[in-house]
Amino acid sequence: ADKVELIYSDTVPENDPRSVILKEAFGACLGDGFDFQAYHGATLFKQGTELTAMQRGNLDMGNLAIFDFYNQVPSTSVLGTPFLFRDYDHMRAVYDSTVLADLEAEIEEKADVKILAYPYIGARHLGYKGDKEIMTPADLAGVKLRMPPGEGWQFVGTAMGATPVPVPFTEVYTAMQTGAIDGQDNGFPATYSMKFHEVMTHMGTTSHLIAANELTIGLEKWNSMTADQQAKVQECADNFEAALDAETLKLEKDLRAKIEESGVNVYMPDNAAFQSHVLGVYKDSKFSADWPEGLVDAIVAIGQ
Amino acid sequence: MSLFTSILGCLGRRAENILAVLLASMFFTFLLQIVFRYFLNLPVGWTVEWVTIAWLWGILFGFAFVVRETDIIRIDVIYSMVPRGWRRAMDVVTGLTLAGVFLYTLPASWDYIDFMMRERTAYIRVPYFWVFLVYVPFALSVAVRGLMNAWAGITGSGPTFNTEASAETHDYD
Amino acid sequence: MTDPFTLTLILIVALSLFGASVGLSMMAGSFVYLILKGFDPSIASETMLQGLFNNYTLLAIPLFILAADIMNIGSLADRLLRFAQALVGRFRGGLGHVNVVSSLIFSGMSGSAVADAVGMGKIIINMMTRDGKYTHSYAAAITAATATVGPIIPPSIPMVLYAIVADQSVGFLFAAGMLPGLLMALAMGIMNYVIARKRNFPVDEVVPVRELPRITWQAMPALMLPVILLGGIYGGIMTPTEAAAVAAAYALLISVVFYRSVSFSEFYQALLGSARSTASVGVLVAGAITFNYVITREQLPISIAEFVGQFELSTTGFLILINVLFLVLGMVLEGGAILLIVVPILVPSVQAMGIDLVHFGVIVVVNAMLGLITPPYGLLLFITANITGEPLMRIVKDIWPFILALIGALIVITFVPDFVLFLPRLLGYQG
Ligand code: NA
Ligand code: NA
Repeated sequence: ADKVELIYSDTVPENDPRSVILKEAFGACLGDGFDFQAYHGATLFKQGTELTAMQRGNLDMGNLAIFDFYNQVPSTSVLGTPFLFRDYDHMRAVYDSTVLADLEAEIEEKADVKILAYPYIGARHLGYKGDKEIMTPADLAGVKLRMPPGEGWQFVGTAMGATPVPVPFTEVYTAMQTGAIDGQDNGFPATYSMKFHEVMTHMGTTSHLIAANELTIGLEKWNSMTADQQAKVQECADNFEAALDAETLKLEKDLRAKIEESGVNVYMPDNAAFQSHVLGVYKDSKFSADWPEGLVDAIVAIGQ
Repeated sequence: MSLFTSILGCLGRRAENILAVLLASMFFTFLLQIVFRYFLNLPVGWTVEWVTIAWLWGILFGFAFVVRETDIIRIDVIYSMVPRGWRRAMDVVTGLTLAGVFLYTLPASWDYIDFMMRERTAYIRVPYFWVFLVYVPFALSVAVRGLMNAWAGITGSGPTFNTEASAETHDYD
Repeated sequence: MTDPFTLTLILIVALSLFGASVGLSMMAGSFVYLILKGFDPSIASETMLQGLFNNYTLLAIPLFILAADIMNIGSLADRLLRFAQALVGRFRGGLGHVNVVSSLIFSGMSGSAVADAVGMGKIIINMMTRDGKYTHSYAAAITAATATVGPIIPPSIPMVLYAIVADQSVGFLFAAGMLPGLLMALAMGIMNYVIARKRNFPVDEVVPVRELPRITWQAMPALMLPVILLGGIYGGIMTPTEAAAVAAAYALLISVVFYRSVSFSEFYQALLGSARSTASVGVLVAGAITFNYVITREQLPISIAEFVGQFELSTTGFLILINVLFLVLGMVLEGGAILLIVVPILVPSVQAMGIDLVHFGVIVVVNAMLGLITPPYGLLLFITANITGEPLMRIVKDIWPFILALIGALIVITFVPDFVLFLPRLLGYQG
């Protein structure tokens, strides 16, 4: 029988542990029936262009961020809301439940892609150069916080009380070193691999976003496969999700220790104050207009 | 004929106006961005986006309507050494190839640009369709220039650019 | 022969050598590759449009060109010329030395060699060729060669890219580039001195010492530009990309306020000329971006890296091979592609060899910069050819001695790790 060719593109560097895990936990898991070709480091398709590439049949699979869906499926923005998930276990429980079934159906219908898995990529925290511990949204007033470029991301910064500044990822180190920005909001792994801790003094563990990627496949590709092949792909996607979850949790623990060792003050802010402030801001914003009825309540309920 | 050339000349100057305005807007937007962020502490984002749109348009629109044949970056090592007859043949080959490739792929490229109506830019929220639309006149101009070069090669009316003269006629010297 | 990739390469080389635009040739080749492979041809236009739209650091190019144009229509360049002549004109090859030193100053402001070449390049080429003292090709060659120092001296965009893929400290990499950057400048200064003697470049009249304060004062506003930009970048007011706009604004302000020499129509002509240069350089960049899709899809850099890995080499042999590999790759590939695709594959073998990864990063970036001035695909060559209007061939002829000088510096950088790692260790690097 013919092999199923799967062209995959993501933005993670080739030698990042995540790329190795993808190769082993997903690629190797697929076995002889598949020809899995992974391109890393945004070398095949630029960040944020994978969705349209899949829709046009030029790419089979990608590992997307939730904001990548926003233009075509605005209701997905709910999953990018800060402080939606209490912690990792809450997030995993939500994705393993059926509360997202309607949203996933909407994605398949509107965007012609299918989400196979939601691998955990880490919690985002506040890392900055300053002289005091930022405990509440009020402490963030006037702080120039680098947030990834894009309206959705920038609003996360606004909602938390900071002045968001869009700086390209590769320029964050220099921008923080020179004081063009005061801080950034990556988690322990990205902070460590990008060396941000070298130019930071504090890291407040807000966990404002418990982030997962969306391992996605083009619907046309998916439908062209036999039921057995689909089952295999789904099994390996779940396998990849479990492996990446374990790796991320381990990394966060190890790198938190290393960042603390380097002299950065890692502390816990008043996250309850942040949560009530942020969810309030979101409720009054245009972003909540797209949210599916009752989904936030259902997600919060799982956490209780 | 003179009416035709004067209309062309007028259109050419309007194209130059547009290109100059695009660069001026990049220039002032960058300054505005620094003032907003550093001096007023205001969040910015649309500035970066406008500058990148102006850069994309400046390149493709500028190449299509303002850049002269002598400005184009080429490797003229061999071209400038061979006899005139060879050059004419080369003009025909390169002109027809470029025109053929860009015309043949234009429908597919159009399909992509049209498809991008569904995606919007991050700040200005303009559909990518309008940002990328400038590719169409760019590709058409590549094709038209290619055909003109090929025609000049066939009729022997001389190349539309001259590598030897360009050093002297260049506007930076 | 029927391999689509081979046919594509032949087409691009043929079109380029037959005198077609290099950028358009690469785009046409990419289209043909996609058609031959049975893929959607729109991938090429998509890659080009998205690539231009998403590349923030490229935006410095048009504004540094504009800054230089404004400095040229105002009398800033003239005043700098007089200052430079007064200072080093009496030495043989004086303005060549000015070129080296100004690139060093400029490299401290920008992280990109291209920005350096277009920023300082136009002014200095103008200065060097104005009175027929130097040939256009020599001025273009030394400008392109000295611009390679840009990303070796911090700040440096390529080093940030390397730090990401090789998991190394940006701070230590920046420190490690300092001495190698000075060494490269020294090597090119010596080469300029040798050539100036051999070709007997004319010497200027000696300017009396009592004239110096006046000439310096007149050039002061122009000399202050690097100070303002450095202060702005390290003071956190602007990013290196934004600094390009500030440079243009400053040049305009100084010309209008102090020298009163810029009319609106001159400003318009500067805008138009810069935009025109931007468009012709931009199409070349666009072609390179488009062709990168083909190279990635063919996994070409990976095959080359695997090819290298199969030999079992000593550390010295490995380093020599790496340098040769990168020099060859640099002849045909864009530096960013080398850093992002080849480096990650080599890192494990580099570590296994016991080679320090900060040291290796400097080697890689110096090689990538050399790639910018080695024909046939050398972005800096194209840019200075565009500025001077010189045929590429003549610039290539004049740049060989500088490539040799830089290879000399590269040999020291490669085989004396203590030299590269001296500053990082001083700053606490444990390697
Ligand atoms: Na630099
Ligand atoms: Na090269």
